[in-house]
Amino acid sequence: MKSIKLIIGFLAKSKSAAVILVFSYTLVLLIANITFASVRYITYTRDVFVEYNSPNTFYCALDYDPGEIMESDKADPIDEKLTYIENNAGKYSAYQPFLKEQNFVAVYDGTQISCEIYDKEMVQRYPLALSEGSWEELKIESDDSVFTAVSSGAQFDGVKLGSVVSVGVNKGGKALSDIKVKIVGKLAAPYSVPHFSVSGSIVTADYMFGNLDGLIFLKSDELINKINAQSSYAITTSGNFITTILPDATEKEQEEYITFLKNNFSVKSYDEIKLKSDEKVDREVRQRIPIPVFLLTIVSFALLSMSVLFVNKNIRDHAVYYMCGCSRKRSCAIVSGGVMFLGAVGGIINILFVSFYSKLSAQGILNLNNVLFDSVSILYTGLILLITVGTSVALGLIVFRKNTPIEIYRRVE
Amino acid sequence: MKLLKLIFSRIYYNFYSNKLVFVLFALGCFVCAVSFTYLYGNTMPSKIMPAKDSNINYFSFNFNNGESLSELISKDVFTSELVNDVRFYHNLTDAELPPELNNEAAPSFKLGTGMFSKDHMFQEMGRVEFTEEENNNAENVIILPQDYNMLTKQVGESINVCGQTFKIIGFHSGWNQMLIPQNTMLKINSAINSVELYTNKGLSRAKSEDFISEFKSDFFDATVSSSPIEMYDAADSQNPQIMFLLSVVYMISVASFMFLMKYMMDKSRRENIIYSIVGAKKKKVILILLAESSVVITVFSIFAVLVHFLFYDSFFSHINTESGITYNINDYLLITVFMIVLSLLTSIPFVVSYMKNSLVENKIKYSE
Amino acid sequence: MIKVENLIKTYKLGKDLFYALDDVSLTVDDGELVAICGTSGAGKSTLLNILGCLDKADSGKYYLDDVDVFSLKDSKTAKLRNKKIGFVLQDFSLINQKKVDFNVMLPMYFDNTPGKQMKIKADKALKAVGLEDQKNKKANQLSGGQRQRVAIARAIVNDPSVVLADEPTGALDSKTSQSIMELFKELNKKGITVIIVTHDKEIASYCNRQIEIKDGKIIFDSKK
Repeated sequence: MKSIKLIIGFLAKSKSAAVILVFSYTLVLLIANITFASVRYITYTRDVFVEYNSPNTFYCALDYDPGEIMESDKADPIDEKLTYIENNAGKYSAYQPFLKEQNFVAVYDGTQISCEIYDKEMVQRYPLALSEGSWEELKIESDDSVFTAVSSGAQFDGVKLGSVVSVGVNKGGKALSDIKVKIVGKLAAPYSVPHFSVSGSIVTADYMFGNLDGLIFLKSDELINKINAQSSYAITTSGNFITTILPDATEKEQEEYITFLKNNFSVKSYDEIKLKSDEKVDREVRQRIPIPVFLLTIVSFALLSMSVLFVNKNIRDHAVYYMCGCSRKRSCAIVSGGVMFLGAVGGIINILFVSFYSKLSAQGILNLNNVLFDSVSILYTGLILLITVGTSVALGLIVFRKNTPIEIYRRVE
Repeated sequence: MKLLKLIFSRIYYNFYSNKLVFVLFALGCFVCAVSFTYLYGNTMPSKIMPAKDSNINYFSFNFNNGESLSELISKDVFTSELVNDVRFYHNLTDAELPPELNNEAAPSFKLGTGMFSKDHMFQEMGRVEFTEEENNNAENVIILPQDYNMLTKQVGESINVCGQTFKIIGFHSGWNQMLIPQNTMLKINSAINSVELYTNKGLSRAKSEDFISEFKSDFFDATVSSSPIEMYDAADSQNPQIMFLLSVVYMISVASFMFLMKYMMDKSRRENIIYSIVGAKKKKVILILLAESSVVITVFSIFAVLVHFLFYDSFFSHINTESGITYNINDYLLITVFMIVLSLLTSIPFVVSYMKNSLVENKIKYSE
Repeated sequence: MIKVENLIKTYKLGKDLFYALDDVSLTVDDGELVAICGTSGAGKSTLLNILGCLDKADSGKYYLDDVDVFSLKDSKTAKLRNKKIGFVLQDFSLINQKKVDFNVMLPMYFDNTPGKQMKIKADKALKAVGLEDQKNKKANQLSGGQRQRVAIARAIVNDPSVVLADEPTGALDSKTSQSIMELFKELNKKGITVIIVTHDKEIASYCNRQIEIKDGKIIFDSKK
């Protein structure tokens, strides 16, 4: 307590400088963290796209009239349309199944969660990194009393692997009767899963993924029936999907099939998506990284300078402390503590932000779209802190130790 | 002259008696100045704009009296190497529109043709380019805008435009342009009311103006409906706001380092009091203190600008947010002037707070 | 008891070596009131700084209550300064922006005295110097004499065995100087050894023993 008082006294010599510095450092570090997280996410989705997709992959978008879909009395009109087209596609030799993405909203522990339904091929195509468990365990059970699922997001942090939880199908904001779910795996950060809700003239890899705070189910008739029994409008199928071309088909067969796809959908090839994704990554790195780096340089320099300033301002007082029985070691500790405080506040706030972001996002309190915060972010923040604060403390101590108390007395005399 | 000598002697004394603090202050000013120079080129719309080809390569002209397509396609301006995408449009009248659209609150549809580049044509369904055969044979094939899909037309179906039946071969991402092969358009012989073209790279303001003059020399009654000039004007109008934001960031950055200058001022308090004792007016002492900090900041800011200029090609150009950003002498002059003025403004609160005490109060403070 | 033997302290002035203390030996018994006199540059402050463990001699021995001070590490000498020695300087050496009670409690920030005890001891020390009603004022709001009293209160707050004063009345008028010296005499009566460095013969006359230093050597000791 006494030492803390002396450290506060160290900083009180120039209160406004300390406040400006702490505030600026915290803000700039936060901007840098969010920018790096955003760029890392774009890079991550590009890498995942390249890793898990072959060059004969196509991203197809169904063009439909939203009004027509809204007014339809069918449960899932988009799925019906896609199924109809897929049946026609099956006549082509180069046809491969459409990998569709379906989702529904459920309620878990009083909070709305999103749930994805993937078929087996989708799960095999995208075996994303799990922090716990295994994709192998995600299987179709023989009865509909318990369904296996992989959890995603901080919502299920407290749930042990293998536990059975209850989720309710959401109908008009109310949770209907429970579906028992056994958690067989937990997705690792950034909790990003195949989510084909976006299309456009230019498609990049990040369009094909979305953050999920919820559950991933394996598609089965039992599951669909269970959900439909509660609410026939619960399940939505995305109008966009992934498909490939049979590699063994002849060139002519492949061309014919591609023409069929293009006649029915807006089609983007693997090469187009990869090219645009690479351009986007380059652009993001080029456009977004320099400014936070510049700001971080300025503020780190300011921290370094302020440490020297504070030491110089407090040197006389420490000569008095020395006279009153404070050892040099203790004085150095007070000086180091004061300088560290200037940077540590910002660092701690940022580390806490990065650590708790997923929880805040799961609660709906904070949502920065498409960012990647994980242990690497904490490591980067720690490294920046170590370098900037470490250098400031070192420089401050060098200045402090250069002036012995007796020299200060002589100067005063 | 005497005042300048005094100021430089004070600066030298500050350096001599507080080497580390002085060096840190100077380095801080240098870093802030380099950052300001960098941010100027990478955030000012008028600097970024010319580097982004996609914003400044589009022209659109209206022909008030309509032109013949056969005459247009013979003009050099449309066949020059500078142009990589050109579209000629005829505004469809109610009678020429497909019957399905007659009761729709539809936008003004256009029938178009030309030379389309892949960079500006995006496939929604089917094909978005005509085969050589389709063009050579002047076939009645058509590419529709995607919004037209609202009327549930599919690829392979027919549609009636200008009293002729066309086979739909695809949908593009545009919203009101129905596109047919060039020879088909020649066959229909509708008057061309407008033309859009894309150049293969972005044009500077001067080059854009030259291009428009060249176009108008061929077509006197043409009016410009869109050109890069508007983008440049819009960028220029945003410059003051961005410059204001940059100035605020610069002042906050410099303020962090001004505490070092204030520390050096405090150390030379004895000298300042002596000036007052020997008869210098308070205003003069304030001027000396302001000048002292401003001179140091100015010197290192100019040094930073020089470093940026000398190392621009080898280093700074590689870290720009866009690859085509350039700096000219006017930019460097503007940056330098701004930095000098802003540093003066930032110094004022520090100097004023220092001088607000009376002479006696300062003397007592000094003797502590 | 303070005992120094054959102390030598030198400083380099360019190429020459300046002897601030040249083979000084001295013994001060408990309870003595000693004045060390000499002209400017004689070595009195250097001797006081060594006695106060602020500085070390180049050679010689220094025993404080039978402890060989020069053999101790910095943390141990800090403890000595905290518990056994009280310092009073010409410029008062107070933290001017802080209150009087903070200044008096300062030595207790560096030992194990609990917070509540700190206030009690500080009040006691301020009462001894007659400033108990000034404790909430900032040090820079006091007169020179009051500041010196605060410095004395700080010096005695941990019940030291010796108080070292370097020109304690140098910045004060004669009347205030008189009152300060009376205060030192009172402290000495309570058993505290007081060593005062001064160039003022009148101030030295308050003390029972006078030692004169010239050119780093003791040339006169009234005890001998």
